[in-house]
Amino acid sequence: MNEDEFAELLESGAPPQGRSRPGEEVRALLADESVWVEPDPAGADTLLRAIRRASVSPWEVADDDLAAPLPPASGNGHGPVLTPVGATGSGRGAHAARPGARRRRPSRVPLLAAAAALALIVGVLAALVVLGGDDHHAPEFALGGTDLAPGATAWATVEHQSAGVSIKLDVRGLAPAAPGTYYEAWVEGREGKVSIGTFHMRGGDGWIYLWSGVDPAEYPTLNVTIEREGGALGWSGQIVLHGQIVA
Amino acid sequence: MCPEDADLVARFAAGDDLAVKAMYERFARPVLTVAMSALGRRDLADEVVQMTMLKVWRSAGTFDPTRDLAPWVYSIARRTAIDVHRRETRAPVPKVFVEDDLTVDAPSFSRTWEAWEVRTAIEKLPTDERDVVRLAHLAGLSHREIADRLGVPIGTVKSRSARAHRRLASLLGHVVRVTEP
Repeated sequence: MNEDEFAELLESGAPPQGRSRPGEEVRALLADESVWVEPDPAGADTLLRAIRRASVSPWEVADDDLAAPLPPASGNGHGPVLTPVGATGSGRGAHAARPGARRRRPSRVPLLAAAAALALIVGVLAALVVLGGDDHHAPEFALGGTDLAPGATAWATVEHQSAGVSIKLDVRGLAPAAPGTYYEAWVEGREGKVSIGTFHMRGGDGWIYLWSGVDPAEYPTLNVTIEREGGALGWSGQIVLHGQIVA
Repeated sequence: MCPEDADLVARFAAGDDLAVKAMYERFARPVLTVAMSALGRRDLADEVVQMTMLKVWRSAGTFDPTRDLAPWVYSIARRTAIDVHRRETRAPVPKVFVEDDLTVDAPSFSRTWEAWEVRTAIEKLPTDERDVVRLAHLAGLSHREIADRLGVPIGTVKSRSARAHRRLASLLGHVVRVTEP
């Protein structure tokens, strides 16, 4: 079929003769409401607001958005998704800064509001220094869902404490563990794997508090696997979340 | 990718207001079409549009500027629609313990690329030609009925229709792999 014949087919008033003839699919689509439906006219503003929120905090956007899988990172041999939301593509793999940090942009902000915001930031920083707060120094990194849990993602913070290394995961989109199963977090390095805790997510998205007795510098990979109760103790290899620890 | 697109993506990644609106204006319709084609529900489709555009923004900093922009956005849109489909239908257990793997590529997902291309082509038509195509295909009106509806001579409708369908055939030839005339 040449282009003229195709145009004639598209314009033809004859009913589509199935989908076997080349071009019938396109003609059928022209009569499909899906190719004519108009998006929400306020959608651009909604998107703009979401981007501004996400520029401030990775989790201050709709959960459903965060439940979506993250783009795959360059090959690490594991196959799971690694790149965190807002990764900059600087070649550091999963070692990413908070999403949107580089995107914060004061454009179009009235001068007065910008000055007020600056004063607020300076005040907050000063208060942190005075109070000795150090939470903001905790390294952060993202974990991505694998093919076994493509909707899952997590944001992790690491803090070295006197008793060990505290690793907190803000987990989103990971399905509750089925009855008889549970999730187990592991750190992995050249010396092998060490379990750092178990959980089930049956209460929905939320924080998971893990403790590692080994140095993340020596065990830089963090995996979450799904395990069976009553099964052989040890690593199932069924990874649902994966990331590289930034400590 | 053309330099204009590279610049648009860069500004979009930076959260520039105009770039955000330009990206939305350019891609919201085809993304919505993919989502409607795949999911068949307007509420979910609207959600997919927002999720897709937000993901595009988040990934914009890692986008390879040597690639074409549209297929990249399409792939994100399709993936997002699949995720929403999964969310709406998924069993409450991880995939590894599901006997029958969750089927994602349902028949409704098979023609999303064609739907994307058709929508994109439609958007490239001049408004007067697009109106004629819409009334002819979606509303099923004859040339005479379209002329009455638009208040223009039937000859005008016929010429607009012929031009529009020639444009569409040219824009969509790769979809059906038409041969040279």
